[in-house]
Amino acid sequence: MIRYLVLATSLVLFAAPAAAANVECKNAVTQMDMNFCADKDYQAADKKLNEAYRKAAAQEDAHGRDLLKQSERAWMTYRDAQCTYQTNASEGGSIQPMEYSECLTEKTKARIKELQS
Amino acid sequence: MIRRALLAVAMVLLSGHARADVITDADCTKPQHAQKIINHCASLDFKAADAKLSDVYEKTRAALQQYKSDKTRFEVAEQAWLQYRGTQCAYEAGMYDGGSLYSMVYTTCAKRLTDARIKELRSYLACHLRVGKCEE
Repeated sequence: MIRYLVLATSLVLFAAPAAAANVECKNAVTQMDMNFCADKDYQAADKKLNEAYRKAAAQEDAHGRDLLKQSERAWMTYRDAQCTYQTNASEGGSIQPMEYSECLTEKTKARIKELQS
Repeated sequence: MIRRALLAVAMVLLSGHARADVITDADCTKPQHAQKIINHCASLDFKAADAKLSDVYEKTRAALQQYKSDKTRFEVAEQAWLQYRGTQCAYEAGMYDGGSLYSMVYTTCAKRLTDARIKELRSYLACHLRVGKCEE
């Protein structure tokens, strides 16, 4: 009995991301889908940030690269701390993952601009 | 309290670069040519922005007074942001290290980031904590 229960639970847990993989993000309706799509947006922005960072680093000498690295680390800590603070209100709710991803995306886009300027 | 302590540290770090000479009679509203005066004016601009930020910071803390965990998270975020501002401006000014332009580039960067931070905090304060007008 317990084993069936565990199996049922794990099926539900597995089903969530599997279902989300087929989501059309333009027409996302459920909160779970919207969370998935917001994370996808963030992953795309983060990939762009990595490119911008690599380009900026390539233009620096060893001293500049070191300073850039320190700044990037500090920025990441700030990004996470700020988004944790900004999504406090929905903590524990089903909308929180979406709000958190949206916050990360917004900060990441600003950081890309900063590194490109 | 934490912010004041951090601010004091930041000011000491900044003043190390900015305090080449004490200038009291420079007219920063007019274009300046001497690097010393340009540095001085840039540092005044930064100080004005930083004072505004302190104001928004205190207003936010006051609005969060009854929510202890939010207040702590806010303070953690501010501390992280101060670290980011310092390291980012050190990076931007890095190529002028040891030169007369360093202080100006650093404080101009610090002012730009401080202005952006004021916007960020004001927006949250108005739109989520309902203090002031939300313009989202």
